[in-house]
Amino acid sequence: MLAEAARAGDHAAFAGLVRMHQQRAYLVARSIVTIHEDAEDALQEGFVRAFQALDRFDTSQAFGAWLNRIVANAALDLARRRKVRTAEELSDALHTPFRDPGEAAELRERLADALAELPERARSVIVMHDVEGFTHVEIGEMLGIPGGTARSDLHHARQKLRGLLNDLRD
Amino acid sequence: MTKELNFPDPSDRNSADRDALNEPAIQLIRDAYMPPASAAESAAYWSSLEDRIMARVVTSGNAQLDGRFWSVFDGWAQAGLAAAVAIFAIAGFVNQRLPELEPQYAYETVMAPTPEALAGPADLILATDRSAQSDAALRYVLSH
Repeated sequence: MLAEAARAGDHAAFAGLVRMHQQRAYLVARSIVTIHEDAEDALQEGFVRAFQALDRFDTSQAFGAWLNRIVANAALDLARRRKVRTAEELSDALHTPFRDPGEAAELRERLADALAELPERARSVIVMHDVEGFTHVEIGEMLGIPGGTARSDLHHARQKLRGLLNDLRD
Repeated sequence: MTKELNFPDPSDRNSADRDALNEPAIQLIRDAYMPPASAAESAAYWSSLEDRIMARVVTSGNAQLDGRFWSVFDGWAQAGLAAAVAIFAIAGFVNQRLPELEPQYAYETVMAPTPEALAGPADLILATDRSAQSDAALRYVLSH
């Protein structure tokens, strides 16, 4: 098992874990800090913390879930240190204009604006749940909130997103 | 243009997640939260990110090893050790400077006039009559 080998000091095994989990962990970090560069910082910091804490990892648990909690903590720490981002900055950060140009680009722009308007935690919850499929309990563990709060945040985030995108329904 | 982002009628959904976003909306969010790289560059991006992560992990691992001798001491022991190092440094400095200061001190001690040395001539000058001047001169000569 890679985690056990990594715990024994095998760097190649840890690199295997990075390869296996980095995409999902990146999304966890990005859902919290929103800005790509900050997500990369948080992701790297999260992996370093995980490596340093490997001797405390219970190998009977899923490594990915353990790692994602560490990455989420690193992202939350980073978000606390960063200044508050404006909705415009966040909207810019979520634009990906060079992908899929055309009609989808305009939709994406509207959605990015709408996401930027959401409260920070609601945005994290909706991305973690609807995009990555984390459960309310998992999201609660990562964000340090009860699972019920994550569920309620998700409901309100969807409602708010619907409201912000309401004109697109006509 | 607006069709993709239409939200389904909540009654169509199962009770567990009846207000979920529809798939096109989720896909747009997923795209917005992916790293800003085109699909063609994606594999290269993740590979380079893995390299950067591992470089940082290895660096942190080395730093951890370097700091390990220090970390075996707890907080008070670290403070005590730091104080002891400071005391040794000061003592070393003083010890180094002492041989330089000693001749200077000895020179100043020899050369500086003592109050006793000045007392004789002062008595001689201050004596009012001739016999007192003679006594003062005799005391000064005898004392040297």
